[in-house]
Amino acid sequence: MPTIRVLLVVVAALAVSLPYLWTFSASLRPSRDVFLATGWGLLPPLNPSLENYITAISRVPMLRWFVNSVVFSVGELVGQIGMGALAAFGFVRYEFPGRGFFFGLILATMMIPAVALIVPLFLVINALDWVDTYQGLIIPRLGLTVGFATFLLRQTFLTIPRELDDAQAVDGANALQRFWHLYIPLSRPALAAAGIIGFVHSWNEFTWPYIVTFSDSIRTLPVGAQKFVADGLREWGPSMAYAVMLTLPVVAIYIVFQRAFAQGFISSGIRG
Amino acid sequence: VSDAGAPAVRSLPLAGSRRRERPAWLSPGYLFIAPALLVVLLFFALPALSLFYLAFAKWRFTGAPEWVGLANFAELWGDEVFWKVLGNTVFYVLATVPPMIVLGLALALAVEAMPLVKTAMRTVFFMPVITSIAVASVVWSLLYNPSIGLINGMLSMIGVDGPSWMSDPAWALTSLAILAIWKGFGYSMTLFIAGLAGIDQTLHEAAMIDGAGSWTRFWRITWPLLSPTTFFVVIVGLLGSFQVFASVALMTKGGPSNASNVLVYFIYEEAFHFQRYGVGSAASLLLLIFSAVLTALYLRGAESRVHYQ
Repeated sequence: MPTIRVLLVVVAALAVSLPYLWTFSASLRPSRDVFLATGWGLLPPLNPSLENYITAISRVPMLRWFVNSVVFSVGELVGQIGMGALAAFGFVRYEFPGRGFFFGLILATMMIPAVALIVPLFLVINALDWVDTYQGLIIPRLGLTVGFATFLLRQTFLTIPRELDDAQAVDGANALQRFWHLYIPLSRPALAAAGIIGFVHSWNEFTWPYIVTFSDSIRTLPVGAQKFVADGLREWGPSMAYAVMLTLPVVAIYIVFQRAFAQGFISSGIRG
Repeated sequence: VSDAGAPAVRSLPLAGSRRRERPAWLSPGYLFIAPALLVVLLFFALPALSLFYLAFAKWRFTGAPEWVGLANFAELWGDEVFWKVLGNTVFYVLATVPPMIVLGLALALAVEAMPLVKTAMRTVFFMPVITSIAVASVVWSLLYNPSIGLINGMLSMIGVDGPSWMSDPAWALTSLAILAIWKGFGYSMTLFIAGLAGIDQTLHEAAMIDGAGSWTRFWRITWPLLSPTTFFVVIVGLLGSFQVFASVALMTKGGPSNASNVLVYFIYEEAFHFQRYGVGSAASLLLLIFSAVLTALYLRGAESRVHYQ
């Protein structure tokens, strides 16, 4: 039994890590190196060079795509957290007609797969004349992602004692002040988790930017990857360099924020 | 988090006078939920509702949509490609979900029993989950490359002549399924580890005293008590697999000759390549209804099973 267990873990660990190792060493290998298909391709190259990285950056508008990816991911993060926190505060702190219905509607966004809505959503964006623009890239997707942030932050806000809120109200703090000086500071871990998850999901997101953008000046890094799949056979070196550059920011975030990460990914599960 | 004691005491005498005299429909709560509600209404509710109209209409991007009744569905029914796509989608789901569950559970149990490497292995196995599908597609289309790819390179080292994977009609869909398993089993493993942590260890100890072997304990204790987790993993896995799109769009474009064409990619092509928004919407509506049924099943199951003990 223990032998099978060790064997299973070792084989799975190899299956997961070999593609990363192979990608990384291929990205540093000068393009005439022929050891790619053999086990040698896994070893670090004898004479590593950044040639492939330079080729990748010069072949495509990499810098522009990078900036677009940052704009998109930060826009999603700010939108999800900002609107989600405000809505969570509204749902927790006030009673009003339709509260249950509106909360249910916002939660429903977590239950219906976004891809089923892509055709009509595209037509809405088209009617707004937002196709291939930053606002068309960022804002519509918030309609599909704000539900998770609202849900997560509402759960957290519910744990904040009502007495704290009442006390500040007596001291003359208005609702916005209490939201900003009481609820937000006490919810930092949940805000961080929602923010990290929102950022990474957006950074990796392929489908929405692929549908709604056409020009290089708006596209994001994952959509740009298609140029490196098509040219894969002739130029595998730059493709690998591109893969490494796209992955490094996420891996860095993952390693720094590991605990918040796995938990947040799990709870956002149903949206995939 | 600060201590809540002092302010709580201070607010006590005022507890009754907190409510202000203002009609409920003027509640500031509306202002707070307004931004989120607006984007949800405009970019979720409106598209979802219009899907129910578009699926029964013909429209070619200009002019007004024209009501055509069930014509779009009839077209799907008579379309050979659509049936092939449905078959492919079911094959893909069956080829990805069960392996992700078996592998996820087996590795969760294995990793749990290896305290020294547990954290490290969890980190390693979760890496593909957080790797962009775009990156995974670039890397795997090279891994699959028949002449320079690592997979056939390694197979030839043990004397096996590998297939040409993505460009072989018999293997294209399987190639995508293998990538999905590679990318997704760490997710189900993480869920199973969380589920295992919720099982009372004294049950195992008691069973061991009664002489139950590890196999008996797994089937009599672990497996039944894990059923809420398994159920969740199955539903999330099904929903995810039915929606596969990015790897198809990047790696095979549904080919060769529709061998790897799946439902969402079919919808994408109908709407955005052929401008047949009606047919695309009809297929979307089927996907929407199917996913809603799965989600409803999950919610009902969650209600009755979460309180298992």
